[in-house]
Amino acid sequence: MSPLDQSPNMLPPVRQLPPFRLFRPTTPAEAVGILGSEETPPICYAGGTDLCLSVHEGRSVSSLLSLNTLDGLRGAEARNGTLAIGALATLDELSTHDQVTAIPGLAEALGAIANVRIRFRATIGGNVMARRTAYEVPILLAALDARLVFESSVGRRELRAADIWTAGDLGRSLLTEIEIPLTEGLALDYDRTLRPWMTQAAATGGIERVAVGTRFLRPALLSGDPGESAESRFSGLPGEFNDVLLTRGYVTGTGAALLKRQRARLAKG
Amino acid sequence: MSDTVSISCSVNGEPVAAEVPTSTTLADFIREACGLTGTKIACGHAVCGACTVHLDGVPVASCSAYAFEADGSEIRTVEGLEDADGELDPVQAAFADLSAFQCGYCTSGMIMLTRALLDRDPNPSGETIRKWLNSNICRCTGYELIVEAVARAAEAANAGPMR
Amino acid sequence: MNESARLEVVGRPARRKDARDKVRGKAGYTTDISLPGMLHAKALRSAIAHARLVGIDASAARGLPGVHAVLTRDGIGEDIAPTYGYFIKDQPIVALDKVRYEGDIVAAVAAETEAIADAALRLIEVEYEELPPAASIEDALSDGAAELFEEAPMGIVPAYGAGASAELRPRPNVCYRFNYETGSPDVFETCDHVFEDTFHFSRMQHFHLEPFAAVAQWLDGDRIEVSTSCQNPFALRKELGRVFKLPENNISVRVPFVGGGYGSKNNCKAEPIAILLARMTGRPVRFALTHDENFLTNTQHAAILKLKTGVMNDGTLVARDSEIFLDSGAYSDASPLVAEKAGYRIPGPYRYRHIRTSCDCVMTNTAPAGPFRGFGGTQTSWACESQMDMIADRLGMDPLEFRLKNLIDLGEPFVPGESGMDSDLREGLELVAREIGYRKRKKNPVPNRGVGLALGFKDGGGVNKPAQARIKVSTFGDIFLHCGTVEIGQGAHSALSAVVAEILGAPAGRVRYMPIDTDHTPYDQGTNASSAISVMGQAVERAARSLRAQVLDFAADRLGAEPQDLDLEDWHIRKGNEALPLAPMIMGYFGGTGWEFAADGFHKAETDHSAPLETQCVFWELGWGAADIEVDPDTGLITVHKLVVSGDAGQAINPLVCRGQDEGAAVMGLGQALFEEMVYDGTQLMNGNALAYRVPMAQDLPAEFVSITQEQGHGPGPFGAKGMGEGGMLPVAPAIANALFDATGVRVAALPLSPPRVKAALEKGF
Ligand SMILES: Cc1cc2nc3c(=O)[nH]c(=O)nc-3n(C[C@H](O)[C@H](O)[C@H](O)COP(=O)(O)OP(=O)(O)OC[C@H]3O[C@@H](n4cnc5c(N)ncnc54)[C@H](O)[C@@H]3O)c2cc1C
Repeated sequence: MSPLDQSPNMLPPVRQLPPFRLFRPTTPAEAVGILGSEETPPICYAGGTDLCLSVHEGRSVSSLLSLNTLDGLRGAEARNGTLAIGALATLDELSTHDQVTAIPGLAEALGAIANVRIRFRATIGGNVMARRTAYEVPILLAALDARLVFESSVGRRELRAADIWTAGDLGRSLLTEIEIPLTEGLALDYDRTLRPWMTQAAATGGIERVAVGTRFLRPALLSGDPGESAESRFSGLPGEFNDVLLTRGYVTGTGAALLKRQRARLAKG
Repeated sequence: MSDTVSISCSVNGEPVAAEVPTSTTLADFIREACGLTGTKIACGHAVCGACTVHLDGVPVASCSAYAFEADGSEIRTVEGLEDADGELDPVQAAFADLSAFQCGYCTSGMIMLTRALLDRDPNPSGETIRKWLNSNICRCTGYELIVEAVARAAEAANAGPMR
Repeated sequence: MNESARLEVVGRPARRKDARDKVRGKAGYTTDISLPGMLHAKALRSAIAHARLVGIDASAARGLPGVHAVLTRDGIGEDIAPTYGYFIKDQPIVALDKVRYEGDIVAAVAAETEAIADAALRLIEVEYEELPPAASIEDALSDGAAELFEEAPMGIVPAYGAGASAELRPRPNVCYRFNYETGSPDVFETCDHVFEDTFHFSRMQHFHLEPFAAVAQWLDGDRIEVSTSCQNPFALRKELGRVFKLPENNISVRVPFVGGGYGSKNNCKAEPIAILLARMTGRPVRFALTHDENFLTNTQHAAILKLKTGVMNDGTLVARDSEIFLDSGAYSDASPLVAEKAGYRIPGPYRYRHIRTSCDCVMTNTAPAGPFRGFGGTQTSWACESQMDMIADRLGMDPLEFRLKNLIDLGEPFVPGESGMDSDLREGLELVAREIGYRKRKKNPVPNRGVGLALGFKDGGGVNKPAQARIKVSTFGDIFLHCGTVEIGQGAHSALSAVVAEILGAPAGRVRYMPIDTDHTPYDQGTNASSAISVMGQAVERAARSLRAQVLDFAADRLGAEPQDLDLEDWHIRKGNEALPLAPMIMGYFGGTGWEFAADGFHKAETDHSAPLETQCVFWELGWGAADIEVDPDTGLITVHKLVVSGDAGQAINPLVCRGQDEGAAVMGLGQALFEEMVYDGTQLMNGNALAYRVPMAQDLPAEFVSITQEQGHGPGPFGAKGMGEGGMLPVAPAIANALFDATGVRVAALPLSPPRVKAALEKGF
């Protein structure tokens, strides 16, 4: 249920949209062209597992750009010291992909998100572009210092994954790729035992990056020297990191305890 | 560009051709255009899985997919499981025999989810069964009897039709 | 009578009657109904928690092509009683003067399609004048709190028996208070200890998968036909008759299969709007809410429970004084009835010399709360069973021994004037204790691991509940069972059919449970309170026995034999070694067109002023539970290693179905214990959809999950059966909290036992 903008009224989820204009491009270039040329850019449709929710929440869709028919933007490949993941790769596909297993911990983490049925459909790009605090891919990507690659009619743009929350309107851009720098010793540990209250990704390889996600707050990224104590890593947590389900005090104490375990697991390999 | 889209697909093995509004969900297409109301719409957000059907063999929440995606595809619903003589699929039979349902509203989806699992892995471990069943919600049974029914269905299918 | 030794149908794990339809997608629900010319309804709701309704402009919506009607308060005339409710008629069909929660309905549209109806809602303009809200029990009871109802709405207090009473609106924002007292409070003076503790109970949503839905027609100017996803068609019909000022024989309520309810689908929900829009348009109207709207329609009661318990040094319980506050939300719905039950059940199944309770229904600007599996018993079992362990600890006693010492005996009345306990409570408790290894365990063998027990308790079978059944058998022995128990998943149609088949010596497949239509179906008060087997079952049993006697009398006449020398076997008369087919006998007497035997059966507990609730309780519903848990002190996360639940079916009509009931109930309790909760930020619901609201899923099951259906044989139903289906939920949360205390010495008295809450308690250390 959603209050419509500033309206004092609440509307039921929209189960049946009015007909929309449907675009079914076959190449990424064609898709980018449509996003750039239409007066109101059509809304991208990948696996649809989040889009339908946002429609129910009141998002109006006058035109839809189906990405299902696109060639490419799937799979993953290591090149030039980065792991490049296609935005349309499904979580299921990635959870067993041999290039993804090159980063210890990543395939397991992606294979733990949602459930079997959703993972068949849900794309990694859709998880990021939904920009919902409850979703986990942005947490993983923040810890991995990933970059998001967008194409639009004005060219290519890169964004740090951790900056997706503040990037503003991306309606004319197509997320094409996610690039993870393959630094020496890169490994990920993702602890989601406390979901939905909090989850935590820790990545090694040079500096240590810890990303903490909760249900209602944008993930916090805490990075620094791996030798630093777990407690002091968490002293960097934003002051207002509270929501209706948890307090900052809980997150710092619990996060530090989880981090110690994560470090031990990462050290064991 | 038109407001409608033409779809030709197969539904439970029968060819279907229809012209529907672009925004028609797969669930509405199945329930209304095809008249197959065994597929239930419950939570509406792909969460509960009561609307699970197979789209080219993949279990999909039809409430959160659009009919246009089915163009050129094969759809399978709960109505397509039994054979021409009305003989139940082993999954249906196991759910019936173990009372692995109560109100029945999740049952079509649970059965389609299980069918998709057994199509991929005819001998799933208990852990695999729970992992798959974790996709759909049953508010009535507490899942235990469903887990048992899935195991029973796998056994029955492996034992062959003569047993 | 050792009847169970020769049961043929009852007691077997047979396929349910609805199995084949349900596994094939052929079972029909209200949401599947589609009538020619049917319109679709959608509702506009307030996003403001508390406001005066200044004006509504729906003209643009009315003008939208495809829109057939827009219902607002302006469309409600003198010919309609505009509000409904159980004891208190306070809930308007659409908002009249005020809106009282975020989600209160202000208007509804009927249109050719759902999409058009959605579009029309966006064109409705509403002007509100905001009022200060009361978000919680504490808020609503504070000085100067805004009042939801400045004047008391029309309401009634039913007759109560010995010791019980109630008042409407005892104070502002309290719509109903139930009181019960027995014995003298002076005994508190004699107690060695008096312990006072407060418990908080969180609020869940039923999360039935089929939404509230109704398809209504207004025919011939004054006749209503409505198919609905509803648990109590007759009570609904009566209420619709009052609201629409129509005689009840002009209203037909039909109930197909119901896709889950867990209590929520009682009384008016989607029906009044569907009916009114049908009247306005002259077309059939389907009003199926979305699942998200379920969260805004009916919920469980959050509660604060204050217990004061007097006890002797040796662990003898003496007195219990309790004050309960239920968060009723914005409208009373079933709150007064829940208050009655919570107030009555709070002592638990223990012996006291004095009991005093009061239970207040507190109105808040949140979604209306109503009946929910356990019906007040979940709240009271949480508080009572937590305090039992706390007291045992303070007295230095073992919690199991403390309970065993105080439990009511088999046959002993719960309170003066009540019926006797119809389960051996100690037997059940020892059973789950044994299964969890309670007595054999070493104290804290593993740090942070512990076990806990609890005994959930409620009176079952409803209060003063009449039920009637009718059985007909055709010439060739085809059996028609007419009764009003709704098939909501519990397997009642199969169970009641099995009772009939058993008594008539027929295979279960001969019985057809006829579709429910209040025009033809005999009266039933409602499918709730675990009453199908214990109340309707008795009516069905009587009807079947009476029909059997008729048939045997008829055959005896025909054969010149004595009825007691005859038996009925698959529509043959067994006489010694002979099996004589009945059909030729029937046609020989009644003519070739044949005949139908028919019989009615009725049941109601006797009215009895010495019983506090005016009738003695039909049966006592128990849920014994035990949990073995471990807590991670760094995170507060509880892992349940093993959960044991047990109910007493008396005699299981179908053991698989009984097992499913206990397990389903227990898993609901597990969600309540660990994580499931409607999260409010003030008056705003933060997780009102299926993605945000977490219910238990397959991977939440404990590593070991054991459910044991006891068949103690003392029930009032057919063959000694008792009701079940709620009991399994009641002990789970307190058993886990007690196990947490066993593991850590820390008591958490609020639900859910979420990691942040548990960790905070562990850090505080008490
Ligand atoms: C039952 C259920 C359980 C879930 N559980 C979890 C969970 O445990 N953890 C978790 O992290 N998530 C969870 N999710 C969320 C799920 O992972 C996301 O919905 C999914 O990853 C989104 O991918 P999609 O392909 O379906 O996206 P879509 O729904 O198709 O799109 C999502 C959004 O991204 C935009 N978009 C998609 N692709 C692109 C692109 N290439 N370029 C630009 N914009 C694009 C769309 O316009 C839309 O706004 C759950 C969802 C469901 C329904």
